[in-house]
Parts: sequence; structure tokens; C-alpha cells
Amino acid sequence: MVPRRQTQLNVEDSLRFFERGPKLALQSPLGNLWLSRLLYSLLAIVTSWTLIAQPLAAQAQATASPGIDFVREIAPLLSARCLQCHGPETAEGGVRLDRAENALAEADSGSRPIVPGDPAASHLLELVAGEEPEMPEGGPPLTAEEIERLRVWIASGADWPTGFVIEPRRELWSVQPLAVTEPVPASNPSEVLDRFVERKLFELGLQRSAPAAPQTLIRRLFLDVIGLPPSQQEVNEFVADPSDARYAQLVDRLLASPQYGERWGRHWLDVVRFAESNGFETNVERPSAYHYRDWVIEALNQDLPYNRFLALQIAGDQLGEDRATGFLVGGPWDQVKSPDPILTQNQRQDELADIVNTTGTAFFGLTLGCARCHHHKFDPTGTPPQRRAAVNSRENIDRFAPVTAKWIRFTCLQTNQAEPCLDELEVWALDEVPTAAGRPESPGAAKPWLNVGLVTCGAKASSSGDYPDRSKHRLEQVNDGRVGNDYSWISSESGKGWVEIELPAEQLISAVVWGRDRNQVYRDRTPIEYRIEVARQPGEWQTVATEADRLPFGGDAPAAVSEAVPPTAEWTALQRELEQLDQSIATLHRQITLAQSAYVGTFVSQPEPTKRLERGEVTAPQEVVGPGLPQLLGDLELPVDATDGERRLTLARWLETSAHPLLARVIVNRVWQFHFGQGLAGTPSDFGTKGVPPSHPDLLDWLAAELVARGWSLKAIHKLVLLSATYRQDNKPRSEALRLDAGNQWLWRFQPRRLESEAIRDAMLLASGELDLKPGGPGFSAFEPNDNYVRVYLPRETFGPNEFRRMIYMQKIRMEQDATFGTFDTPDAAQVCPVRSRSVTPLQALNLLNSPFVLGRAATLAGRLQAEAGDQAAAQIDAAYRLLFGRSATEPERIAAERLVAQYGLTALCRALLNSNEFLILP
Amino acid sequence: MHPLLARRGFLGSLLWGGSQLGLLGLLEADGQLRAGDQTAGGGEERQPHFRPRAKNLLVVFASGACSHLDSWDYKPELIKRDGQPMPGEGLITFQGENGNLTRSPYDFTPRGESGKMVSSLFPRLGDLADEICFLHAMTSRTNTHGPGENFMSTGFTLDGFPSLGAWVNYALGSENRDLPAFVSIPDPRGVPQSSLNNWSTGFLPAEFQGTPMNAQKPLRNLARPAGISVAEDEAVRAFLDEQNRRHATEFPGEDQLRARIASYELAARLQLSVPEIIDWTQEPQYLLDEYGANDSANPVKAGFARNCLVARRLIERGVRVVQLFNGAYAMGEGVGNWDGHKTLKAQYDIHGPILDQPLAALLTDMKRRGLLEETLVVWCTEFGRMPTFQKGASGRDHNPAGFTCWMMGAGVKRGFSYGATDEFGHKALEQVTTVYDFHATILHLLGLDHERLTYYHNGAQRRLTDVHGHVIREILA
Repeated sequence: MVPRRQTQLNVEDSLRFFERGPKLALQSPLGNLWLSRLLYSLLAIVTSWTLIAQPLAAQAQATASPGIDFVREIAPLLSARCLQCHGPETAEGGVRLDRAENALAEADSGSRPIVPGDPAASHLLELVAGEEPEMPEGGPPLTAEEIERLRVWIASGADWPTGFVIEPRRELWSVQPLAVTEPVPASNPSEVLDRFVERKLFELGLQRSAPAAPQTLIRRLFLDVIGLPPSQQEVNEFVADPSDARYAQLVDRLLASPQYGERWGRHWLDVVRFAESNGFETNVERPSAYHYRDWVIEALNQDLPYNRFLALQIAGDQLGEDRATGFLVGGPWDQVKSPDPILTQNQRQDELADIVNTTGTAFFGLTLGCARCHHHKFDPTGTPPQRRAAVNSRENIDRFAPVTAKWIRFTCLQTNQAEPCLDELEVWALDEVPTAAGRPESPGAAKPWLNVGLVTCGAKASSSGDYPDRSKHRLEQVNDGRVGNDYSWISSESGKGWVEIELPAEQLISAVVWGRDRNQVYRDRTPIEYRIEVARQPGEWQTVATEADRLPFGGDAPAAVSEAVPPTAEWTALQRELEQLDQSIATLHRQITLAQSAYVGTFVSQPEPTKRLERGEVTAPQEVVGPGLPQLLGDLELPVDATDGERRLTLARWLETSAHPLLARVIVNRVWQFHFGQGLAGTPSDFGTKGVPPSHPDLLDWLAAELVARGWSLKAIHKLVLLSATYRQDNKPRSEALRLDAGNQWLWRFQPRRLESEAIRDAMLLASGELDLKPGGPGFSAFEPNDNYVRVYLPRETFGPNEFRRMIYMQKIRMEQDATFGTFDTPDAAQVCPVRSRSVTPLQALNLLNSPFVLGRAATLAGRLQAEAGDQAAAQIDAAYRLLFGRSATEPERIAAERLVAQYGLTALCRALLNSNEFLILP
Repeated sequence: MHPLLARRGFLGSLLWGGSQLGLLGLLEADGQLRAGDQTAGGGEERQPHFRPRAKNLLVVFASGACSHLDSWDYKPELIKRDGQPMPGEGLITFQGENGNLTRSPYDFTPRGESGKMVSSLFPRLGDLADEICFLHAMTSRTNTHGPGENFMSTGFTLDGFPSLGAWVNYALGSENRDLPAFVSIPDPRGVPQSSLNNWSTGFLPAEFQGTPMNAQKPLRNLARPAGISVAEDEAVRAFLDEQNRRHATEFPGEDQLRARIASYELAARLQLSVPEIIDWTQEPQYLLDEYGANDSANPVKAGFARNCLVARRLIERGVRVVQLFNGAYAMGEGVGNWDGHKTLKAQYDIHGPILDQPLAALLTDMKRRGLLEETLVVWCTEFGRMPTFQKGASGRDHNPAGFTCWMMGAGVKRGFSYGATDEFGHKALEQVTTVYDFHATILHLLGLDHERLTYYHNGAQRRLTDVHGHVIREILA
């Protein structure tokens, strides 16, 4: 089912909307559209990036002269178009245009480039003008406007402020056109790749290692491409026939496997800091955020052209793929706001800076985060994403700290439509404080929960007014223990009304449970804004819950226990069955809801003007600024008042059609890093001036050009890399090469590396035979359920099949880590993570040795080996080595293993092997 | 060789500092290693530039925004004008409208020889007034708890930046090979509001992460699993070690494999050292009494007291940074922490005793043992509270414009007060101190220049202090 952005009721609790108009205290004078800032901040990054600040006096003098402003209009032009050849370093032909004493003087040729007041005598103009201008050599000609600007400036006296020296514009390598050279003719593209690498190796006196052994290569290929090791049979087949053709088949097969997207997609999710919770103190889950993850995986599996992949993430709502806009709203969001407008706007500003920075680094490899302060132009203000009041028309459980009450009042403030309806208002009590997680104990337990609000308990109901038609809807039915539309109460007023329950005596209560129709025939008339209050004295109301802190849709329901009867065995069994059914129903409801709603962006149509904020202060709005792109990327030619859709669509089209070299360079470098562990450029999300330039610029450019030539097919680039001899070489260190290049920057071997947390966990489950390869859909949680307003994430202590899916489907909670695998440098999704650290710590060792998860897998694995290899220890051991390492045990290994198994059993061996380097390393 | 590595030695760096390879990777990520230039280390930036005044750091974090006006910041004018409206425009703060100026329900009396006015909320900590260096003009950038805790612990209001402890760990490493360099001790009632972002490693490698443990909850997965005998455990480890060593012979010089082998040896040492160090019951009875560790009438206080004992034991063994939390969020506003919006007196009557005796005992104990010679103790909270009560309530709303933190021990003045809020304690007025300044000063005392302790992440050389911060020279001893 294709998810839709929901605008009706029953939207998922954490669905986030970007809504029109200021909300609450955010009476921003500055407008409320954020995407214009995104575009605008793209603009902000590069304007006058390369123009070097000169003494203020010089600038003042320059701006004082009428007509053409040298500093603003001439110097940048000369800097960008002339100084590369005619600057301080390479004064070709003796011509230097960086300072007046040269530019205005006679050159080697005898002519003067610039003659103040005399355009006709100025050689510069002669060279740049005309049908086929001689200059700039090797570059596009100056535009007519630029030539005219120069002419007017010269004619008006060529005012050049005293002492002003123009710095040559240092061209950022990453935005230059692709320089495509092929070293030597080669029979296939992968060989071309190898030639680039060989050339560098040769220069350094290094050479590529011999091809890796087939066992090593196939293990590498599987772990690398799909994040799972090969089966024994796959290893055997490849060892029997390690031919190039067979290898190429394997590559094709793996790239076509659905597991490819789950592996490579994980990297993209790191890059865009995808998570399924809000972050900050409350860190509430976003249960329907998984649609974006699913889309990423599907898109990569389908080999959606990369330029399209980017475009959809900016404007998927207009291009037929809503799910992709999950990217735009994927960042952290602080739901705790304050009436103080300045502080709240600053909060918002932080969040917007994060969105812009993520887009900049992920798409362009440009760190736009800096633009916020350093160009004083990033001005995010506007509406925070509002949490739409989420409603469950079936059943809602509002828990609160136990409180003593005699009266309980449910006040509806707004419904989805018409008069509010409640089929039952239940008041739950427990004669002791609930368990830590605030959950009811199961009904069979010694102290069951009681609905003390029932009329049979002596409770009385009253209301603000009742529906005139009493055939189905009557006040006395609100606490009669019967549920469903036929036994409900409806208010006399549209959208509001209250119901009150008076208990026979004061009672310690801790939850109110209510629903509109437990039979789920009707979903209208549902209170979407409400208040639950309690009182011990008449009129002394104390609010204990509102819609803001209600449970998410589909939360667990306390089973319907109305009285504390001594449980019989049959009753208990039935009750348990009922509970399970209840849970299944809740799960299905949840899935239905999630399947038709997705955590994606919704957008305002006409943004208010974007204003520059002086020093980024929300209190200091300046001039209106239109949307645009960084100058060095191009021009979107958007009017200042373009609609939001127009803006995003224009950017999306640009992403799809510009074929800008930066886009291609950035992604092929990520592909390279994915396969080799380090990119050709070591700062994969920073191709700006602070980033590390590539080790093999020619190779990077060639790969980028291949990507564009192959219709932006990422799989084509993967394949090209995977088929190369550089990728297929051996992984063993050689001492002479280590001396020259310990870090393997020049690729004289394949560098083995520790697997990431996901691959370790997945491989363990695959080995134990428990891995569930079910793709897509809502994920599983690594934590115990928790409903606290500020979520408390306590790691699960026990695991079942539900948790045995691939780790990419583990619900990603910001800042929180899986108790076993989180220590393996799993990103926390608060900040972007373009490259993961690979640290080695004793906590990792402790987790793999002692965690319930790994011990459980070791036990299951032992059982599997026994079942498959029989009772003989020798056979079991051999099976273990084959299963885990893809090879037989050596003689010393067999002897040691037999000793261990004889004394402590097969599980002990499995525990050890799951901790071994060979198992945990991508070879 | 990278100076950081050289200084700490191979094994030392392995312990909590990762492998050589890890460090090389770190340098590469740091942009300091460029193509073909593996030996060019730029590690000097991370070297301490001056002799440290403190070797260890103990951060006591009063979570929930502990009111300066009811503890450390004495305002006679507030007492005088109790019940009167605050001059100026109506205040709208975090939870809404404010009522009138309200004096503290706790009386202030002069304490120690310095005569520092401290409230009766903290009688025993007041005894130590002559030892403390108060910072009365602290300010924060946010008035919500999560970002506030983030700001105090990481220098950024957003999630995901390295914590103070992680920075110090990254810079200085561990003194004790058998213990983590950075330990976080959550409150017995649970984790603080920003949870593990308070001890996060952010974008630094995982080895610099704070390790959370306390007297109530030892390190996860530390203990030998139930059902596995000592003999079996040892046999498994021995087998694993042999297996790994055999495998490593195929990869001579592969540091990552060696580091992994070493990490299991270090894990074994941790298994011995951590239970021992966390075992507060080894302390003599008189100390248990002094801390209140067996106060059966107040189990939360006893729990915090035990954590205080653990903190001292950790500092004593050379753990570089210990973060000790007082307050947790899970129980709701003001119930389990200092967030006294509604009924400040009732809530602080509970929280005061939990903090006062145990912390005073810890500080006294540390002083007696000479630990304050080399340890900097910092008491902080995310922001302050308003001089008014909230409209319709008897508690105070959030106030990031002025609050009090303090320092004590190595390198700072004793019995000294720096900075002042206005006459009501609303806004910092004199010697205004930002969290950046606070951090810069802490790093300075540890021998680190906050402007030079940097790590490349995503286009910027990141610092704990972002682009701000000045060392507060006036408070240095």
C-alpha cells in the first residue's frame, strides 16, 4: 500500500507537520517558511568566498568612486577569470592583473593591459572581446555584460584603490569540471580503474598484492555488498570455480539481492542522521518514520538514478514519492517549547541549521553549517513542526502518577468532528504504586487493576449536557462497563463537553481509559484535544493528563478485568489468550495506521519573505533575500516570491539535470569508501576548503564521469569497483609496503577492517539460523516499552524472533544505543555520520563475551551444529568452522576445540568463535 | 609517532584510547594526515600547553535546575520585597505567567570564616563555604531542560556533541590502566533528562565515551554470566586468545587485530577492578555514617551517598573524569529532581537532604585525603530559577539569565565569590559568566587550552567551547 500523508484523523502520534501560520508563542515577524532558508543558505555559503578582505580604507575609497565599484565588481572578475595565469604565481607573458603597478604598466609584449581612461588602448579589452576572444585561454569567454563593465571602468579612469591587491581565486577542486583522462587503453572499465591506482603505486615504488584467495574474496564480497557472510555452499562453489566469469556472476547476483539495499542504505541513513525519535529530553518515537528507511532501501535496490534519488528527497511530494521527503523532516526536533519567543526561535534556528547542514553535507559535500555564523546570512525562523494532536478512536490509556481522587472529569476541548462521543470512561486503580515502567500488572497477578469508575462500584456519572437522541447514546452508559457505539455517551455541544465520574469514596487512581468506539465501526466524534482532571474537594481540579501526553496509537491495553475474582486455571488461560489476541489486534491496528500514514513533510504553499538576520540574531531582521543556490553551483533563477513548491521543485530539477560534478564526485567517493573502508577523499561529506583533497583526483573524476555516463546508476559504479583487481587483491600486510604506506592510502593491499555493529549482529543471527530476512515495514525495538513523557529507554533483557530481523530494522532511537552492539561506533543519529570510527574497546569485548544476546546466539548455534553435524565433536567442530569462517578447522584448531568441547560443551566453543577476530573482520 | 600516542604508550592508548590504527584513523579523520604524509602528525594541538593545576575532574550535576535563590545566592532585596510585583513588564517564562517576587522559604545565615550567606537548604555544604569558589553570574542559552543539560555537559544545546568528559578523555587519556578514564554515575532514581548525551562521545570515537555505572547498577555485561563457571570462562578466553593469535600470525603488523586481542585482556582486568571499586561496602562504618550511606529512613539519600563513595573511590584510583548526577527525570517534574515549579518548598525539602550530607561528606573526605590537591570539583546545574513564584503556584520557573555554579579544589580560590546577579537574583549583572567561560576555565585548570583542543568533524575544527569562551582568571588560585 502506498502511504499517504495523512490529514485526517487517526494520524499517528508523532506525525509531524509543517503547518501554515505561526503557532503558539511563535509570533515570528519573519515569516514561517524554512525551505527558502535552505535555498538561501545554499546561496550564503559562497558569496564573495574568495574575495580577500582589504584594508577598510581601500574599500571605502573604492566605494566612494561613482559608477563601477572596483572592489565589488572588477576585482572578483579579474580574480576569477584572469589571475590563474596572470597572477603572482604565474605571470604569463609578464602580465599580472592582481595589482595596479603591473596591470596598468607595460607588459613584455610592449602593450599595456589597462590604460586608464582609454578603453581602445587597453589591450585587455581587445583580448577578451570580439567574435572569438583570445582570453581567457581555455575558458568560456566573458559575457557581454562583463566586458562592458570592464570597458566602463577603464573609461571612467580605471580607479584602482591604492595598495589594493587582488588575491587569485583559489578554485575549489571539487567544483571544477570533471577532468577525464584515461591512463592507457584497457579492455574493460575496471581495468581502467586499476591503471589509475597502479600509476600511483608505481610512482611510490609499491605494487599491488596478489589476488586474494577465493575463500577470502567471496567472504569479503558478501560481507561488503550485502553485510552477510556467504553460506558454506556458496563458498564451496566459488572455490571450485573462482573464474572471473563466476565472480562477475556473484557480483551481479549480490547487487541484485534485496540485502544490498539494506547494507548500502544503512550508510545513506548514517549520512543523513536518520532516526525514529525526536531527540532531546523527551525523545519520543516517530513510529511511522520507517517509511523513509524503506524508501531508501527500495530506491537503492531498484538502482534509482542517483540524481533522481536526490531530487525526490527534496520534492518527492510533487514528484510522486511522498516517502522520500522523510529526509527533510528526519532531523532532531525539540518538542519542549517555551512561551519565550526568542529562546524558542533560537531553538528552531538550531534545528533548521541542522537541516541545512545535513542537506549540504549529504548532497554537496559542502559544510553549510558554517554559513550560519560566518556569513551572517542564515536566518532560520518560523513555525516549529507542530505535533498534530493524535487520536485513537478505539481506546486511549492516560496514565499518571498515582493520585488520590473522588471526582474525575474528562473535558473534551475539540473533536475531529461533531459532538464528542465516549463509549466508556474508565477509572483505574491499583492498591499499590505501579511498576517502574508504569504498566499494569497482568490480570492473573495477585493485585489486579480495577475499574473503580463503574456504576456497579457505586460511581456516579454527570455531564455538561447530553445528546438529545437517547436511543443509543445515554449518560449512564459512559460507566456501565459496556463498550461500542451502541452503549456510548454523546455531548450536547459540538466539539466539546465534559463527563464527570464521582467515586463513592476517595481512591488512589493512576489511569483513565477511554474510547470512542472499541468496536471501531465509528471513528468520528473523537476528542482530539482534551483534559483529564481529578479533585478531592468539589471544584479543586488538578489536571493529570491531556492529549499532549497520551499514549501512542495502538498501545497495549489493560485487559478487561472488572472484578477481583479468584482466578481459576481456565480463567487465567483464557485471559492470557485474550491478552495475546488483544496484543495482536493492537499490533494490526498499529500496522494499519502506520501503513497509511508516514512521517514526512507537509509544506506551506506561499512562504513569507525570508530576511537576513544580523549576526544570526532572530531579533535583528534585515533585508529580504530570495532563494538561490551557492554561486559556484549555479543559478536557479527563482523569483523572490516563488512558492514553496516552485522552490523545491526547481532545486529538485536542478539536482536531476545539472550533472554538477560536485554531486557525482561526492557520491562516487562514498561508494569507494563503502568498499575500501576509506574514501579517495578522506572527508566524504566535506569537499570544501577544509576537507582533505583526494589521493587519486584523476580516478575520482573518472569515476564521477562514469556515473554520469551510465545514467547515474550506482550499481554500475559498485560493479566497476568490485570487478577491479584493486578490490580483489590480497589483504596481507607486507613489511616493505607497510614501511612506505602503513595506512594503505595507495591501495597496495585490501585493508581488512572490523565489521560494523549491524553486520556483526546480522552475521551472528545468520550463523545461529535465526535471522529473519523480512524486508521493510515497522522495525523492532531494542528497548523495553516505555510511556514516560520523557522516554526512558531501558534495554531489552530478553530477545525473541521479533528482534531477529536485520539490525537496519532496529528502531533507531536518537542518542540511545543497543546494549550489546552500540559500543561498536554505531552512530547516535544526532549529528550526521559520513564515516564511522572503528574503535576497539574492552566494553566491546565484555558485550560480546557476556551479553544475553550473544550467549543466546551461541546456544542456538550449538543446537544447530548438533542437529546438522550429528553427535561427534569432531564433526561439530568442523561444521562450526565452516559455518562461521567458510573453511575447515586446521589441525591445531581442531585439537584445541576438541579439548574445549570435551570439557565445557559445544556452546562454549560457539561463544569463543563468535568473539573471534576472524568472525568479526571483513577480510 | 603521534605525540598523544607516544605520551600514553602503546598499552595505555589501547586501554581507553583504541589501537594505533584507530589513532591513525583519527588523525586522518582529523585532516592532519594527508595523502602520502602519514607521519606528519599535528598532535601538538592536543598536547597540554601548560602544567595542569588539576589532574582529575569531578563534576556534580544537580539535574532539573537547582534554584540559586534558595541555596547559594543571597538577595536581601528579594526578602524585603517579598510579595511585591517585580518591576518592569510582566514576565513570561517557560511555563507562562509569573506572580510576585517571593523570598526563599529557606533562611540564609553567614557561614564559615568568610561569612558567606548560604541557605538552610544545604546546612552541611554551608559548612564548607570557606572552601568553595562561587560563580554567581552564570548564564545559559536555553530555558528548557534537555538543551540546558546538553549545553552544560557538551557546550552545545543540540544533541550529539562530545561531552566535557569525552573531550578531557580524548585529550588526556587514563591514569589507571584498569579503569575507564571517564565514568558517569547516574542518580539512584534514574538517568538525567538528556540521558546519555551528558556523557556522550558525540563524533569522537567510541573509546572516549563516558562509562555509566553506579552503586545501584554496575557496568552492563561486566559480570561473568550466570551458569558459566570460572573455569569455563577462563577456558573460553584462553581458547579465544589462542585462536586470535593464530589468526593474527597471517597478518603481521596488523594493529587492529592486536588491539582486539588486547581488548579482551583489558576486559578481564576491568572485571576484576570495577566490582572492587564500586563496592562501597568496603568503606569503614564511620565513613558510611558520615556519608549517610546506610540511612534506612531515606533510601534515595543512601543511594546517592553510596554513589558519592563510588565517586571518591574512582577519583582515588586515578579515573580522569567522574560525573556524579543528583536528580533524574523519569518520575516527573520536580519529583525526582530540582525542577521546583509547583511546590518548591515541599520538593526541595526532599531533595536538599539527599544532596547535602552525602556531598558534604564526599568533599570533606576528599579534602582529608588530600584529593582536592589534584582534583577539581565542579558543582553545576542547567540554569537557575526565577525570583518570582509562578502565577497560581508556589514554585519558581526556569531562569537562564542568572544562576550559580561553583568550583572547589585544585587550582581555584577558596572562599571566593565571583560575579553577581541583580538585586532580585534575576539576571547576571556583574562578571557575567557563560557556560563557555566555565568550560574554558575547567579545561585550563586541567592544562588544556580550550581553543586548541579540537577535533575535525564535518567541515569544522570542533571545540568544546565552539567559538566562544574566556578563562576566568580571577578565580584561579
